Amino acid sequence: MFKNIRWQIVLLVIIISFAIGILFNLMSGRMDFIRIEKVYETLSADSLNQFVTKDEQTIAENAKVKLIDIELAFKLYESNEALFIDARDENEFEFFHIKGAVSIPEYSFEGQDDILNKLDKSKLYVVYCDGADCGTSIRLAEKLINYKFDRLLVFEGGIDEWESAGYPIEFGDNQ
Amino acid sequence: MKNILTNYKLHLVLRYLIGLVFVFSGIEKIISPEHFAVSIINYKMFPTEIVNIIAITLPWLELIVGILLIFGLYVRENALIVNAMLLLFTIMVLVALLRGLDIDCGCFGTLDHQKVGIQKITENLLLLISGIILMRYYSQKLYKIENLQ
Repeated sequence: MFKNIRWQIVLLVIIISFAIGILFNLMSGRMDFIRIEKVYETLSADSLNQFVTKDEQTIAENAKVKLIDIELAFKLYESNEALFIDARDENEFEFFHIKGAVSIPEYSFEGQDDILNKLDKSKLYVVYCDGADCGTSIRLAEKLINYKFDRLLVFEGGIDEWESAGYPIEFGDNQ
Repeated sequence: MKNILTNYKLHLVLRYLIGLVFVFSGIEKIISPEHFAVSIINYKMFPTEIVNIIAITLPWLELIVGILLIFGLYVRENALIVNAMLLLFTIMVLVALLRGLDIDCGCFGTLDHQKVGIQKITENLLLLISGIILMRYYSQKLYKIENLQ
């Protein structure tokens, strides 16, 4: 099966393709070549109170993505302390989402969205996506921090965990 | 059977099929490298440090191999590269399934939200069989003038 294969051609195609990929990325500057894994702090119920206070020093410390688990997310939801932001795309949001959440799709977010002007940046927000594996919520939260959203939390379990727990969801675009 | 496997019309169809799948898949990933990188991370098979370099280079290999197959250039060699990639992808999907990961396969960038599963493995295996036929039986000599008339 391999006897008529010209291995130098195989090698050449691989090297040229990789070289084009690397050059294209260098010119477009879209991505770091080495990915650095970020470790995010998970807030406990006790540290949440500290997070919610608004003195200058706490705000500076808050300017990092912080994670919360489902119990804390539901507590904030039940007490109406936080507004939930859905980072998935519009179709997924329309299919179903956490009741009362607003949609800010991460993939198309460029900071010019009308919704940003409607949101009070001093309030508490919880960003979510599908679940711990999706990463979209963390990326959106990091972008929103650049737009002066100081009190942002990421509910890592996302809509999957929320739905499994039987917590309120709704269907359609109700924004 | 051998007559079918060495049929130049079959080779033409297989070249276009695999070529278009890989061109489409490559372009989608080139447009959205971060999305592809996240898909690779979700498989939990590679160290985070090398994920970006895979996301930067692999889509171009898919694109170029696909184009070369469509144009009938170095078909056996490109079929070999395609088969190696398909084998790797199939193993990754299989391992993800065995580990109980419920993740998007990430096969066609942002346009594809197909979860890893038996359907994906079947699709990959069908493409792999097509690639093996091209690698084993493709020959430029089959494209004689009398065959093409």
